[in-house]
Amino acid sequence: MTLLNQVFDLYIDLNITLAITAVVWLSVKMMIARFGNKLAFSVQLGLLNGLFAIFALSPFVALAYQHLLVAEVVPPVMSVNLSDYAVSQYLRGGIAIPAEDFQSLLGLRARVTESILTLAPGFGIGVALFLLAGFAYFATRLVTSFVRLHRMLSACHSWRRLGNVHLLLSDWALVPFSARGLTRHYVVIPSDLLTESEDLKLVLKHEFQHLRQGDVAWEIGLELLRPLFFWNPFFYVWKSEVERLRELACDQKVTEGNGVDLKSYCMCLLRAAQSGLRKRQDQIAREQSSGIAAVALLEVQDRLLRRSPSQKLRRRIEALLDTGKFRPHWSVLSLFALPMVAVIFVTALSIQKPSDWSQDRIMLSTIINLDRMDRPTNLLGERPLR
Amino acid sequence: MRKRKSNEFLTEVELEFMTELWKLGEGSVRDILACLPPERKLAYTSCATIMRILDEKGFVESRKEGKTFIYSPRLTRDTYQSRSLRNLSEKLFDGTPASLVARLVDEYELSEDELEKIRALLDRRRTDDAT
Repeated sequence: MTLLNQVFDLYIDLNITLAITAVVWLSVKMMIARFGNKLAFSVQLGLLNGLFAIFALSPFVALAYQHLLVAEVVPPVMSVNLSDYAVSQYLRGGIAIPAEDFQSLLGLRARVTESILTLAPGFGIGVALFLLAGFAYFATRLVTSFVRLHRMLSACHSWRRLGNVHLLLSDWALVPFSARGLTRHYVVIPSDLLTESEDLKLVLKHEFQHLRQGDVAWEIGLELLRPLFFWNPFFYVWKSEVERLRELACDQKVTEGNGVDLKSYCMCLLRAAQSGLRKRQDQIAREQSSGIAAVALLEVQDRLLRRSPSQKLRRRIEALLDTGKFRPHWSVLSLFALPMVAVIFVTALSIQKPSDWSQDRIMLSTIINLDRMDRPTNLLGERPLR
Repeated sequence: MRKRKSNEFLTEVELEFMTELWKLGEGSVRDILACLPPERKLAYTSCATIMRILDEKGFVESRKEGKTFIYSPRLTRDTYQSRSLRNLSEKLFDGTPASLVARLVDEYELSEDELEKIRALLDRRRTDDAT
């Protein structure tokens, strides 16, 4: 197997694992909603980010597990493989299709991979071009966005510096937002907010909370992955969940703090939205907006296939007014999270290619050969000898 | 030396500050604060930051008198008005000032006296161009 095959296999595995991780999260979300949606948003965000970290780790875990299996540190009976399981089910009569069709089904992924990597005319070359074009488009968009963000940060006026956090004032920012470089963190405030001291305090608390939560780093990480997962709808589901929960968690943390009035905070969000919308109408401001790879106080620009900014703001305010969320003890949370982690790791392991020919596979191969031997006699219209 | 940021135009708040500074001729942050309406309730530090930004943008220049910075405008109100009008004419009226003037005359109920002044201004301009 060539290096390209291995890399492409890893890519496909990651896409499947991402889909399963997203399904696991959506199931958990449904369960949370069934129990009255009372789990604190910061806990939900922690779970979400934790699951993503598990997803990112899954290829390494799968690789380590394969090595342990080969080295016979882990007994072969503990091997987890979806295709091996399917073969054993077939041999037990659980799957009622002809052996050759079943074999063909098992080899589907290998054939598709081969067709894409060898740029086979038709499907193979079409998919390869689609993946390459999508990667190129989203990678270019990412680079452009970073350049635009860098330009915008350079055009800002330095206001204050708190450790490695630089507070900047911008004439062009639609709404306040946070960004980061390799070592520096930036909080960008529209300069007209300087004259609204109460709103300024709340906005700074909100943006500092984003920095504490590491939201900017997560945003950059997800945006870096977009060129790879651009065709995977589960990536967009995940991204939208992260965006939703990080704002809700941030709002909740800020309003739980001392001296923050819930009503004042909601009014501050409304005023920021109003001001952002007013600026959005200005063409210059729209051209200068930072786009991606930064975390904004709120959205004021419509995005394709996404809820409108006003709907999002309404949900945030409703969530803020719905108080009384609980934070379970970390041990309870770990118990809750353990099955989710297990599902992700088992998925990552089970979709790996089987390392060796098992007894079941040899049996399947024998059945297929026997079927093939049967065929000429069938063509002659005679029944094979039993 | 502080880095200059190129921005030709003033934000709403900056324009409010510049308007007061044009009236004063020159002044400190406290002088400008005193001129602003009391309901603005602006913190001294915020005003000082806005003045520093104006300095960075090159709209004002500052000199130190004791511990206080005294600011004075680097461009006149007329110059800024011309710059803003030119920008408005280019961006919103496709570079045709005549459309801008037409819209102005249409939208504002100009008095007979004001119309007369405009007419006189145009006549003077025409005479100047002829000579």
